[in-house]
Amino acid sequence: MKDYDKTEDYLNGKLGGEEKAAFEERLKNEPELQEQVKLQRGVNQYLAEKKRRDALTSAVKEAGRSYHGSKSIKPFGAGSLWKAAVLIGIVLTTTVILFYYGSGLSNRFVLAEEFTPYLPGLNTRNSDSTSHWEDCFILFENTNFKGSLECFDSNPTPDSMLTWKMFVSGQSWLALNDPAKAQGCFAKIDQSEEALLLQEHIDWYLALSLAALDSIPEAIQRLKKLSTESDFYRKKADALKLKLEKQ
Amino acid sequence: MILRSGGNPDDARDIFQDALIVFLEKADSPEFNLSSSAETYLYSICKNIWLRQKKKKSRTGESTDGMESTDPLSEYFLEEINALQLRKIMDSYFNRLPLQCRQIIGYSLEQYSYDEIRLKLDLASVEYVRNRYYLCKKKLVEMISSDPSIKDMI
Repeated sequence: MKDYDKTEDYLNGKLGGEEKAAFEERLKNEPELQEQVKLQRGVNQYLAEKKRRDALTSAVKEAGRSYHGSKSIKPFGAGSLWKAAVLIGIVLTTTVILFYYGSGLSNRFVLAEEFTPYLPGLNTRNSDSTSHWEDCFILFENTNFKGSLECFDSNPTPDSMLTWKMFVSGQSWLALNDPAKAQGCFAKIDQSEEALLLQEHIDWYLALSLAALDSIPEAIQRLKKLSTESDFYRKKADALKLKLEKQ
Repeated sequence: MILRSGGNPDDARDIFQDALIVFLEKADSPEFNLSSSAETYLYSICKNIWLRQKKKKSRTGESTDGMESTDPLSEYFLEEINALQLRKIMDSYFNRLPLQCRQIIGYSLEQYSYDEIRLKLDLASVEYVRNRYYLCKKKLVEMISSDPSIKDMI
């Protein structure tokens, strides 16, 4: 830190003509000094933006707490925080609207709260990654659900991969808020020999689809099955079952 | 995704909050323009941050769970994601400073004069505040400069 003071003065514009020229000459030839300037400039920038960023972080955390019902959002003060508040509002409202709008069903919340896609790795699928239909899986993995469904429609899938196609398409329909189509996909592969290793995931997504379609007893039946058979889903299944039973 | 790949609910909550911050930082920039839905982007940002965190923990530098580490959607937010990570490291050093240091720097960032800081913290003199500010900031720079991971990030 031998040049700390000099560097600080340079960055704060406090070096006079000759001193500044000498410092800049050294800067050209001394990599260590270049690093020092870069570091101190980075720290100064960090400190200059710290207040605004801390406020943004607090606003997001506060909104998160509020969303989970434990605390209410306080009014935002600074102008940039209004933007943050509005955007957080848009994100949260969009999520809610996406899952409620046009459905007329009371249990779409199940999808909003519980659905996350299961992303199978390429190795899991044991497939030929050079095939064109493989792109459809990649689109799915990149959360382009609509693109993935369109891709499957326009590319022939080998028979050996039809189970995976149904599994992935079902999830895409869930993500696109169409539990009826999702249920159709999962029902086709439910209990099939080819889908043996995927059965617990199929049970879970079928339960979500059924709950979103207000078929609560069938959904609960699936969840009970998961509760006894799946280590992976037991906790989630129990929690959702409880929630549905309370209604 | 996070729960399925070895994370806990706290990880999921933290990563989602980080992703929201990244998203909002980008939203504040003039070139902000989305080609997909906000949810899709948020999911990709979460995935990117989570994979980085996992890599850092494992120190192997390998991708995890068969998931691709590069994601075209989150690339759009790369600068903000990198800035967030750098900021978190700097935050960790800032928080290691003594309380009085953090208070003096904090008030100074809020544009309080040294005299106002002296009054707020009940300190002996303006000179003391000035010296403390100088030493505290220098200490912060020293700590950060000793972290080898910082050099590539700045």
